Amino acid sequence: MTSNQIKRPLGLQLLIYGFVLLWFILAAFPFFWTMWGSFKVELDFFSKGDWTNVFSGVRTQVVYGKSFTGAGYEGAWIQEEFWRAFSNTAIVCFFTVLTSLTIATLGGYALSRSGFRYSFWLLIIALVFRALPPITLVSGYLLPFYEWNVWGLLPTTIIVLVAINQPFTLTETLSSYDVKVNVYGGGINGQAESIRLAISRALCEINEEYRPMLKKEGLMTRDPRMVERKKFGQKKARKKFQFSKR
Amino acid sequence: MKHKTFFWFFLPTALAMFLFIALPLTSIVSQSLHTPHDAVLVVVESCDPFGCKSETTIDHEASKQIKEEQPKGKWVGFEIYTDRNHLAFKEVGELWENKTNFIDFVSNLNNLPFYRAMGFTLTYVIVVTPLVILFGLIIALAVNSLHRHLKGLMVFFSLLPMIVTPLVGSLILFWMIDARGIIGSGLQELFADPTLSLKASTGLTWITLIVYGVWHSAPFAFIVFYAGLQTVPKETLESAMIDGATRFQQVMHVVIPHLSPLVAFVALIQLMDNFRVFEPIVGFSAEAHATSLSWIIWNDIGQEIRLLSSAATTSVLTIIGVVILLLPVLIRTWREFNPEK
Repeated sequence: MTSNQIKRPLGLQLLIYGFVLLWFILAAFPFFWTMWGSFKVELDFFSKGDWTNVFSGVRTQVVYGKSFTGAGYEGAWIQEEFWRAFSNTAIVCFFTVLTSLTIATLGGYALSRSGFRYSFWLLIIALVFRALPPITLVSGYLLPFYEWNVWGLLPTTIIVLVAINQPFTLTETLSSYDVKVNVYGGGINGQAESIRLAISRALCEINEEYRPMLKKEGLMTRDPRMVERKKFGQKKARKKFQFSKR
Repeated sequence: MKHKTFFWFFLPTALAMFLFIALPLTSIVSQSLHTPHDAVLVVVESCDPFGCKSETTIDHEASKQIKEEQPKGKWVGFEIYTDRNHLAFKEVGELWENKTNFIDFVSNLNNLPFYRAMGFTLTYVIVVTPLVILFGLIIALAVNSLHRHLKGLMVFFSLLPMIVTPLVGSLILFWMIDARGIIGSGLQELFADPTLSLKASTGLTWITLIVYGVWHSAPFAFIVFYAGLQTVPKETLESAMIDGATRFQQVMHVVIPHLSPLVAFVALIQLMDNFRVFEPIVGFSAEAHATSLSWIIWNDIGQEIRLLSSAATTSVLTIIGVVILLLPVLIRTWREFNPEK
């Protein structure tokens, strides 16, 4: 950043680092704290009498003989069958993301490329749908789904989630990138490749982290081939003048 | 793009949205105009040696028949909309007639479920949205000026509150503000009041929910602004510096104008997301002090006898609210799409 070029005064530097530290604690501490507490018995984690019990683990030691215990995890994962919920979530997540991204990319592309009036109205409808709390739709699903006996099945969940996600993915893919290019000279292929290079360079401007990926695919390399210069005593770079021996 | 190409590209999306959003919406509207049939009652007189008794029983045959004839239920029009649990026209009218002063009227309005939920939802939207934008911007500016090795790490940790599901995030905070949790007991120590509880009073619960809302959504604003900061034009900044602009002036007159489209984007998304506030209310078990429209719907559906008509009516009212909220944005999009003729 440009602002780094001139050294900041110490006070400002301290203020920035202090603020970032504060935000770091706000953002991350609750998660670390709960993770730490998850290895303790409840009476240690919620200790009214002496809060240092969370660190010393007095009651955890009484129950399990050591100051850390994995009993909570065993209880949740095996006894409460959390693994089942976990695998279901994984399945639903995978298929929902796969399907919604595929069809929303197609739809978003079509919306951004079409300048007709109807595409505007489709966009507005998608925007309103995106703003709807999904829970407003639930009472609309209840009746038919019970009728067809498909309530609570994994495929139903996936299809409904894909549908509800459509407006999200649509409005968000639409607002990401749109490219307008002018190219001069060359042939079709040359123009295409030069646009490719320009887009890659633009992406790197936006986020430096794209560079290695693009580099690997050879998209950051400018084709170095140029027209070789014409030599004197020759017709072109390599072509010789015609001559006749007799 | 040709109409035909557009059609095929858009078909899957359109089909999904039509079948699972548009159709349920029409179903909701129709449900909100109907109510389940009353059971058909018959009075049967049974006589035995000790005298005659008349008994009222449900005529299952007849009830079933009515249900088959009109599967949607009894048509009631806008009756559900105006009843006490929704817009409550009659009750509001009475309150207005009998009011002693305006504050009194507002506090009485708070006893009606719909207005109570509306009150919290709107307060939440109005307070959380600007705070999220402000904090997001400050965090983005601060993180962006860090050493580059620290940046990546900070970006990751800053996103945590947003990535974690709202329900889990609010539960984690809920445990911490519990009277036996670290923040809860810490506050009790601080104010030397062993009975202090963030869950006990309405005001404190609202503050807790709003703080949670800002904590949860600030990372979203942060990451959008952070991405925007990477594209701030260096030339403009440099020329501002040469002209002797202070750091603050550079931020106010170069960086923020550059980010202004992003501010509009974040504000739009935040308005929509905050209007449907739901998970924190469940996570914090705050329904005694704060309810939202989404919570009312959930509550109606979740009961043993599903109050589908009531839930549907609240849904329709919510949708109308969403459209009103989005109206400025919709008008702007319309103007952008139709340049002056």
